[in-house]
Order: sequence, then C-alpha cells, then structure tokens
Amino acid sequence: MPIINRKRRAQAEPEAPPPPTRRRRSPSVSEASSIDEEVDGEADGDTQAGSSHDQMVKKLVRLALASEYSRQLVRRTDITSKVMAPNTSRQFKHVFSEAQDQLRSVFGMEMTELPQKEKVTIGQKRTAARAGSQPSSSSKAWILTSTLPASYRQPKILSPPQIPSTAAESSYVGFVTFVLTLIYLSPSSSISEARLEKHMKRMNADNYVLSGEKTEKVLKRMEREQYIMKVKERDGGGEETVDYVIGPRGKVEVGERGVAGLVRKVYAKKDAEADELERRLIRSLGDVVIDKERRVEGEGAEEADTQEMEQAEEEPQRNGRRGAKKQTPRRSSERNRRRTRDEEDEEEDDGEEVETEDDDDDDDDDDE
Amino acid sequence: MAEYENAQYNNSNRAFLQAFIARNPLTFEDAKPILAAILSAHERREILAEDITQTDFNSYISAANSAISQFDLEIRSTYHQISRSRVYALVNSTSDPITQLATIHTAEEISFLKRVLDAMFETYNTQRHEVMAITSMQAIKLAKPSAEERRQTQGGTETQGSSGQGLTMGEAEKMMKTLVEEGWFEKSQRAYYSLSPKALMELRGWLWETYNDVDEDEENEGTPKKIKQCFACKEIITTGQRCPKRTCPCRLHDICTQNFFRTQKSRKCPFCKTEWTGNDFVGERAAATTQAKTRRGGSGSGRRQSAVDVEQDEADITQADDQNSEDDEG
Repeated sequence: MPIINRKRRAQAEPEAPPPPTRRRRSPSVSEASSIDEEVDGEADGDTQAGSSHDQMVKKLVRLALASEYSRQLVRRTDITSKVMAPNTSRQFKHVFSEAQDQLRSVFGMEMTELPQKEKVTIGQKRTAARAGSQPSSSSKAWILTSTLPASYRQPKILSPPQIPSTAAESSYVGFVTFVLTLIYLSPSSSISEARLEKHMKRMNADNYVLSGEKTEKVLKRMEREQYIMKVKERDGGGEETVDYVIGPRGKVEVGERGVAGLVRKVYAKKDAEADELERRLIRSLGDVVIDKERRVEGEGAEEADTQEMEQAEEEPQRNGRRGAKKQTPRRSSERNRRRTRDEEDEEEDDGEEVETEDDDDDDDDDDE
Repeated sequence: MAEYENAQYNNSNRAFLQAFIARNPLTFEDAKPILAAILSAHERREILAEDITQTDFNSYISAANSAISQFDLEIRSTYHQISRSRVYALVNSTSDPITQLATIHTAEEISFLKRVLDAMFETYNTQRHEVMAITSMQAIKLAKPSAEERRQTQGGTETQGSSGQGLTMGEAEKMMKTLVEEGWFEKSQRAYYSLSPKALMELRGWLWETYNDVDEDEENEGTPKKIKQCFACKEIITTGQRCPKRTCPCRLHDICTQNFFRTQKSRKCPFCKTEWTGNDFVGERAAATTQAKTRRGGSGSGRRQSAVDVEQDEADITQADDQNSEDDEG
C-alpha cells in the first residue's frame, strides 16, 4: 500500500497531499507561527484587558488589509496611533504576533517586514557612520504577502486585483517586474537613469507605458511605493548622476527569484541552453535562484519518504512531516517556481511581461 | 465534492478568500473556474469548472464568512436588479478610520463621489422622478462643490474630509469612468450611471442612514423615504416599477413584478390597491419616459416634461405634488 501511495505522490505536483486530518493548519503556517509563539512566549501578560486586546488585534488585521489595498506600508507608528489603545505599547509584540497568526490562518497572508533602505550614496554612508549608531536591523514597516503554497499561485486563482482594473494592475505589475529585472541584472544592481531610458526606448516605453500613462509618472509611483529608489549623487566634478536601485518592496515582492522567473519565461530555453541560462542567472543573481538547492531538498524529501515507508505503519502521524517536506515544489521545467512566498502576482507578471514587450509598441503609437 | 462542506478551514479556503478579494464582486459563474483551479491545486487532480456546484460555492462562501466575520468583514449577496443574477461581494460592515485607507482615491475624489451620491438620491430622486441615477453631464457639473453643498455637509457620517478644491471637469469624468471599472457604478446603454449591486451591498446601511434620516424631522405622508425597498424582495430598489400613486411607497423590481403578480388575484398595488400600470418607473426610465406616458386620470398630464430636464422640473414639483396628492386622495 505504501508503494502505491508513493507512486501517486511522485507524479503529483508540488504541494502536500491533502492531509488526512484537516485539523492541522498547513505546515508552513504552523511552522511559522510556532516560531512566533516562542518569540512572544515571554511577552508580558495582558491579564487585564482581554477584550481590548482582541480589539487591537482585529484593528491591526483590518489596518493591514486596508493598507495593502492602496500599497501603503503598515508602519509601526501607524500601528501605535491607529491600533493600540493608549498606554498599551508594551503589548505591541503580543498584538502583532496574534494579528499575524490571524492573517495567516484566515487569509493566508502575513506581514513581511521590509528590509532597511540601503545607504547607497557616499553621503548617506558618511552620515550613517558619523551617527555612529548600529544601523537598526528592522525597518518597522511591513507589507502583506501571501503564504499560500506555490501550487495556488497561478493567475487563474490569484489574478491581479480589479482595482482600478485588472488590465491596469496587470500592466503595472508587469512593468514593475520588467524595470526591476533591468536593475537587478545591471552591475551592482544599480542602473543609471540614462541607461534605463535607453532600455525604455527599445521597449517603446520611454514616453508612455502600456496603460497610456506617462513613463515618468509610473516611475514616480514605483518610487513612492518603494519598488525602486532613485539615488542622486554628485561626483567629483560636481556633475550629478542619477541611478535607480531596488527598493525594499521590490526586494520583497519580486526579488531575485521573481527576476529569475521572468528571465526564464522570456528566454524559454530548453536542455543544454537552459542549463547555461541557469548558470548565468546564478552568476547575476546569486545562489538564491539556484536550481540545485531545490533538487537537493527534493532528494532529501525522497529519502524521508523512504524512511517513512518503512515506518508508516507504526507512525501514521508522520504524514504531517511529509507534508511539510512536500511543500517544496519539485518541478524541473524551465519555469522552476521558487518555493518561497514571493509575491502572489508573480505568475501573472511573467505572462504579462512577455505580452508587454510586444503590445507596448502598438499601444503607444495609438497614444501619441 | 460535498465532502468539503464540513472540511476544516485550509489553504483552499485561504486561496478562495484571496481570489475573492482580488475580484470582488463575484457571481457563481465567475467563481466556477476559480474554484476549479483552487480545487485542482488542492486535490492535485484536474477539476473542471463545470464540476463545481452551487453547493461547493456556498460552502466556500460560508466558510469564508465565518472566518472573516470577526474582522467586521462579510460576504453578502444580492440579486442584480435587472438581470437578477446573484452577485456576491465582500464588504466591510463597519466604517472606521482605519479602513478609510482602503481606497486608491484622493479625499477630493471621495468628496466628489459623495456629491454624486447626493445627486442620485436627492436631486434626481424626487417624488415625481425617482431617477436614482445620473448622466455624465450631470455628474461632471458636480466636479466642484457648490457653495450650498459646502453648507450642507453636516451629515454625521461624513467620509474623508477634503480641502474643498473639487475636481476639474476632466478629472470628474475620469473618476466616473474609474468608478465603473472598479465596479461601484454601472453605466446603462442610455448613459445613466447607477449604483452597482456591489455598491448597494457595501453602502446599504450608509445609504439608509444618510438619506432616510433626513426625513425624520419632517415626518409626514407627503415626504416618503428617499431610499425604498422592493416590496417583494425587500432589497433597496433603484430601478424598477412604482405604484402610480405618488404618495404610495410601494415599489417593485421589474423581475419581481412577474413573480409577485402571478400570486395575486389582480395587478393592484399591494399597499393602496391602485391599479398597477407597469409604466410608472423608478430609475432612469423615470427621467425619460415621462414624456410619452399619459398619467392616469390625467392629473399631471398637462405638464411639460422633457426627457432630461428633471432638474428644471424640480422647482415646481413640490407644488405639483401637493396637487397630485390631493387628486389621488380625492
């Protein structure tokens, strides 16, 4: 019986087989939340105000959902002023982790802290050094990301939002991914304004993008939403250079894996060429996009399975663990999905972007 | 697939919720391919959209509802007033400062929207012409707040405040278009904007409070509520038929009349027993058809009525209505 079972699973794709007991939350979720519980295990007791505590949790969940709607950050300061009752800042950690649990278990989302903005220019670095303080490791700003396993992240399920319209959102997300890809694949992940412009020209997007909006305006919006950062610096001769680098949201929502996904989709290489492409991707983007890692993990899971097969009879509960392992997608297609919880629109991006490249031309011509 | 009915809340439910949020509002037809994709991912075998039953859909809706109610969110459903297709929308059941963030619109745009709603339910919703819809020309005129309007904003449930700048006409036009794209308004073939089912569900309580409370201080037979329900289905009605008697509060959706009168002995108003004409309207037809229509008994027939000049009409409406109600009762 276990053999049959295994075969079936070997064919079946990434996600865990539907767990026999549905009590359990999805593995990734329970894993993550157990960490949280540990963290705030010693958080100060809030024995007095249970109801106001619940209120704060509820408010924080609503704040997170509402903020994401307009791509605003959930900031620690906003939480303090809008969510926390007066004099309850001690409970922050507690409220936050509970809201996080709720978001995960109900919505399949979580608040992901944005990385700190990098100090890019010499000036910024100097000020930071002068200030002397250790750069604080947290940005105290979060965005919502999906915790759903990769198998659910397909355009049929998670389409770009309808607000303001699916078409507008898709083209924006596509454009964002494209620009981020250009930046990521530039030397030291920074692209000069002139160079970006040149790329835009080739895409016929130097004046207007697909949605008919001015490119300039869209880049501003990307900056505001922290997908990219604009860095101005004066060099020795007093000449100003303008560069674009990856912003915190860009790192979280798209990241190296998102970029690799786009590239794989656009080049769509097979066999030996695909291997070459993978090598190049790793060289440009680093190990995070590595394919091998997945294979190794996959083998690990396979081993675990073999062990399980032997022990299956005595230990039916091990299913849970197997589920956790199986969470790792094991596709070896050119479109190897990253297994993490990158942003949810990813698949859409990929598809969209390819279109954008051709469509852009026609559309812009109409506009002008 | 009934086995899902009692299933625990799992990733498929979460995926459904995320899909819903992105595509709010949904019909069962829209939901079928989504649920099929979700279940395919969940069960890891191909499930076709045709295999999805209303029961599957309902179980996902109710699972979502019981999970999100603690956050004052709710999936409501209503029937489209014209097509009668059932529409599901995820709405926010309380308004608080936090969720006012949940808009991509500026404060100016929101206050323009408020003026448009006022126009729909006050200016163009008179006893004589319950249009409850607005043409784009009329809407564009509301781009800037009028002096009068500014004085009027004492409404308790005022939404995000604005600096009173207003929009340019171009912006107002664009905003109307955006609101249609976002699914708040619907634009009819004859270019009237009216509230969509999603908007009616989301704003149900707010509309009721905002436009019906005003009447309470001058509570009398002559000024019925601004927002009315369909007598048959009890939902807010913004397009349909009305009792020919002006003061009678009875309204019915076009589709509701069919079912309703089938069960009745005669086509009479269930309230005041006036003969139901079927061509006294609520909604955009109230603005346009008045011209062609001969009023019962001729009480109001002599009056000039052109298709779009509801506005002009309004001045003498009060007067006329008084007469009419006398006629009606006499």
